[in-house]
Amino acid sequence: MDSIEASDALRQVRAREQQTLDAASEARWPWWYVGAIAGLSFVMLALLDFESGAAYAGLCAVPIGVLTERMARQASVRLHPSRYSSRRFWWLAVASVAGLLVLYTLVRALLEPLDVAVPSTLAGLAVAAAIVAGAPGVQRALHSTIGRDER
Amino acid sequence: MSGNPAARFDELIHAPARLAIAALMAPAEWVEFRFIRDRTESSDSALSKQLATLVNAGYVEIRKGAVAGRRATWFRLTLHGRSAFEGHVLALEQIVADARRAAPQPPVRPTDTSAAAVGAETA
Repeated sequence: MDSIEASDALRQVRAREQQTLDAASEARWPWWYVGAIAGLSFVMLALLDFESGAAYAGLCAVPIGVLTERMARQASVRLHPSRYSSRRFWWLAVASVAGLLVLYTLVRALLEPLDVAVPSTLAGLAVAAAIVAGAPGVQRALHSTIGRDER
Repeated sequence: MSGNPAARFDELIHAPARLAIAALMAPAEWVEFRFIRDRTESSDSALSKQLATLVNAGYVEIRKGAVAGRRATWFRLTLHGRSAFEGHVLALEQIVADARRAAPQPPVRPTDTSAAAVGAETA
């Protein structure tokens, strides 16, 4: 094989790899996934208003995990972990959860003086709305963590 | 060819259709059949044939499932396949690098430091 043929083959490899990375960057979370995560988060936080329900709140994390795995399995392209910048990826995940916790705490603190009967349910509504509204932004930020691994 | 010991030219992967398939799979953990078919603009049967060759060589594995009620099939490079693909890419890079080293270098013009040249530049 001559170097021109090798060079053409390498160009083709890079272009094909880029097609996969582009497809992963353009993918959007399906509406059912965002809706289900928001709904389950709301249910989980609403349960905290009931003494007997609080014990079950943690169980909502199970379907959230199952749905996330199912959504990832159904994607037409699931990127190899080496293609994510893991440090930025984890910072983004932690920042998203921390942001939701701060929102929840703030709304509860605001409702405290009003002596509302179901403060966690109302704060849960705010969290669910934030998940639906913030999902596209989080996904854009997630896509910015996609890069090349080092050969 | 000398250099990286991991570089290994792979005749099976080098066929244009299979190289395209492997390169599409390389950044991914799993890719769906439709994605590969659409990007390579292949027919279902032609793509199936190439994928079967890669599967039989132990380079690719299959997972079947469903998306929104339709049957779907995903593929990924096995460890053996990923290693073969990466070795092949390294071999290609090696060929290009060796050719660059072997190519005659253009003559380097010596820097003219004569007083006349300096004078001409500063004028």
